[in-house]
Amino acid sequence: MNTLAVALRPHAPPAAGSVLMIQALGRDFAIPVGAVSAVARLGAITRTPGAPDFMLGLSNVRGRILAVLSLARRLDPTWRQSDGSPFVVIVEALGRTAALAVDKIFTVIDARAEEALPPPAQLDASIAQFTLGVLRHGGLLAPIIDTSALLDYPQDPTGGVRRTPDTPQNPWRP
Amino acid sequence: MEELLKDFLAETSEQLEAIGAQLVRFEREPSDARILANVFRVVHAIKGTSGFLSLPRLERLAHAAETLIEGLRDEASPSQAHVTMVLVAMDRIKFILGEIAVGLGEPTGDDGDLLAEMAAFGPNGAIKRIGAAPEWSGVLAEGAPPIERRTDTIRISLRTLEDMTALVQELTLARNQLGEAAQLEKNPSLREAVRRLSEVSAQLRVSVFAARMQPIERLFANLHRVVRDLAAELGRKVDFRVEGGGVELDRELIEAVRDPLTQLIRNAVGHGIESPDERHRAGKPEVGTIRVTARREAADVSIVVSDDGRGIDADLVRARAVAMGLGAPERIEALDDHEALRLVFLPSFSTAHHISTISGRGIGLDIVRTNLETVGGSIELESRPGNGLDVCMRVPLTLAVTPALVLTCGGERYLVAQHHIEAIEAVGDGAAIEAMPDALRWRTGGASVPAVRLRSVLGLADARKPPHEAALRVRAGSQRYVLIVDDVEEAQETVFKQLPAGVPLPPYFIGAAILNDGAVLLALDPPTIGELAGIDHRVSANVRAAPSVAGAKRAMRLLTFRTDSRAWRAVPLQAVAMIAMARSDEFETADGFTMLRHRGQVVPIVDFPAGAGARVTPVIILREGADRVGLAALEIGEVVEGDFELEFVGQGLGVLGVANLKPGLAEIVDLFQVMDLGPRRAAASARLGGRPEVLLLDPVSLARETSARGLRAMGARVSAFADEVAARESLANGPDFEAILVSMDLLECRATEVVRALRAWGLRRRAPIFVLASDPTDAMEAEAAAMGLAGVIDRFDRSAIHAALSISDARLLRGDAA
Repeated sequence: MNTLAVALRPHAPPAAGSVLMIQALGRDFAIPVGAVSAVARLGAITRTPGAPDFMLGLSNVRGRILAVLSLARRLDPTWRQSDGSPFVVIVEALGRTAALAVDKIFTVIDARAEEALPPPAQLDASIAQFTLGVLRHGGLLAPIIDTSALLDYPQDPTGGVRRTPDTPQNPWRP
Repeated sequence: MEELLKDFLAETSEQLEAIGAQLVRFEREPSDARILANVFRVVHAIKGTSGFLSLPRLERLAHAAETLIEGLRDEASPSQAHVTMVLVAMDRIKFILGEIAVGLGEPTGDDGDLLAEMAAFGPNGAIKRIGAAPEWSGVLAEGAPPIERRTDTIRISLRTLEDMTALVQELTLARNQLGEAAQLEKNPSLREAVRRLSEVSAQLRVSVFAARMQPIERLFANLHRVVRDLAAELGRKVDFRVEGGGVELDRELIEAVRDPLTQLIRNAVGHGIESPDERHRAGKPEVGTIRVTARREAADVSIVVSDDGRGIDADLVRARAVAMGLGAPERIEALDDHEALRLVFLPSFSTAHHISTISGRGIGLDIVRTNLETVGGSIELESRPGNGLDVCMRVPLTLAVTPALVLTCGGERYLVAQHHIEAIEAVGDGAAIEAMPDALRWRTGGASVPAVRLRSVLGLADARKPPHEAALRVRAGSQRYVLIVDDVEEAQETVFKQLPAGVPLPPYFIGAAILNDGAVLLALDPPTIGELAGIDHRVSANVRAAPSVAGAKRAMRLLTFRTDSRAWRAVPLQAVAMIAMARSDEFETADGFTMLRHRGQVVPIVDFPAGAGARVTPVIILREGADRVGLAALEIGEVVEGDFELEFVGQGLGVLGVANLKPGLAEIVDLFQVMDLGPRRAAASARLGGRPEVLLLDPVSLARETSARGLRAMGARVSAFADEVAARESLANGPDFEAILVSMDLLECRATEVVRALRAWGLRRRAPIFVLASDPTDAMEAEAAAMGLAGVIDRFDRSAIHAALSISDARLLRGDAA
């Protein structure tokens, strides 16, 4: 588990407020609106070799170059299906900005304090590390995404370690 | 009051920076009362304004400094201690100003210690109270230029300037995107509007970038002080000279170059220049010379630090490299001197040992190199063991727009900054990639260079092999290697953006840029790629290096380019005003010429090969006075340096001849003939009357040939030689010359000797001697005048040559020079 996310996560259930409802991994999630800076149409994606699997690439989003992250692959590294929505959710946390690719974007709902619950023990461990709690709104039950945990990953995916030879003709030093 | 204070702080810090250098000069030239008057005036102004702004500590200090300076004037020969005291006072004033500038107000303290020391230098050992200093009024009124009151300028904050630059960059991108979209439309009024928008945004870009430029003199101002203090500390005697202070550079680059330049100067004083005793024993003058020369070369600025100290012995560098295990001994031994000297830039070489045995030159050179490279610059050494060292730094004029190559690998496009690429070659065609047990090598024409395949770097080794590959010769610090990519698409001017925080990418990507078509491309970082591949720690043997010629102070630098699929051509780099990466919509036809409209300039293209202009075309813009002509190229090659000889005399129009630039033959462009192919802004200079006899001395053979051809075409009878010795041998009873033209390259080595020899020759008439220089500066003019020479002429400007020779002609007719 990510130490920064633990440090940032409040022990009490999240306070109520507006959340953006989206769909990924075939289920509903809520993203606190305070962490969302925009929803934008996704243009062409430039592939980024050497980047982690959850990073789909870079894109020119309204004149800014942003990393496009697959929310599904970030939550479940084994997920291989592509994200369905032509729109991305631009989130900000830890001084970082990224575009989240998701399956669907629904609506913003105002949640009451009593509708936000602590993460239940049954929640999938890989998802639990990225959630602040669970929203129960009407008949809806959706994990609330912790964007700080979501955007907390090493900047250099090689970890600053020199890569080892992996092909017979590779140019790297032994 | 707030605004007044801000203006006062800004103006004063600029003025103090300038007078620091002037004071050091004053110590050397105590007879120059004007320098002292300038210094006095600044301190006097600080005193007055600080009184007005209620800054009593500053006022008191400025008053004492004023008195101290006045005391300097009365000394027949100012003592070093006295000048030092003034400098210390200036430092204290700067400190107080600094505290005020960061909002701390005037710091507490009464400077009693300093005032007491200063008083010791005053008349009769006491600070004399002075009022309006009437003794100075004469000096102020007479010779000294008035303080510049720039009523036509305003100060703007750096933040505003940066914002404007960023907006212009965005505008350029938007213009490019619109331009590409408009090309698909048939609507002529849309295309006309885009053309107009292109023109205006280009002009706007030129204006904003011009606002970022500052004279390099700002960098030089502090160096006098650095040299003076360090020389005094180490017991060296140093004559420090600067040239080319008027050359302008982007303000960001001025800051980036400041530390490397200071380090080089410190190295020159500390390790290059010997002690007076040692110099005496070596038969050198006791006073060593350090010269810093700035020049503009095409889209770069070169700053050369030359000293006449002990230089670096390449044999010792090789021995040290072998001892440190920096490569296989046989490979290191095989390096030529030029390549061996590059080893001193390796981090391990510089820091592992104190290398005083090889002149202690290694300290900090790797840091100097790294700092320069982060701004797209480079550094080279040329050593004359026992006689000195030239260190040449090159930096681009501006950081705002980076010319880059678009290349492909594994189906994706990437960018690489062009300053890292020396040449592009095709795989096959006599060159091959060889897989060694631990690495790849690129073999071509007997040379072997380390190679790196980009597919392996990107982890795409298993992907389908591309139908063909291209090889980029990469230069990144001391690394020289070949980067093998799938293909090279085009060159583009791009605005590199650092990746935003939170983009998880490997370190071999340095940033990204948005291209004209809106696509985001990742930019590769060649130094990191080389480092990951271990290039930095191997001696990259057999890398192509231009031959350096012993004896010639400065060999000629030639820019190579290709105008068809086979022939390479070369042109003197000094004659290149810029290399424009021109888009297809920037070419137009007028007056029978293809014209390039680029960044607000209109340049006639005199050579437009088939295939050029399809997409982005590099255009080499040549200069002669105010005239410009362009040569469109299919490809820009590398810059080679050396004293190349013509193997064959040129047969075609615009061709001086063919030279072996090693490793290949190239047609050398006849600059003047090519200039004459274009339309002129004014009538070309007329022929000289009376077919004057001219003696031309130039040690660089291609430069000599170019000047001689130009002079002959103007109607002169020219006798051209490498130096005065060769001339005397051939012309024992030679003709009477009406003018003598001597290249700066010859004079730089031994001006006095050459001029004395020419004067002692006993020619019947005392012909005026002119200096031919690529980029004449005021400092050169002053030096030439001091030596009694007739003037300095731009060697690439025939109208200047014509004017000089006409004047000398008239003077001879009047008998002035007899």
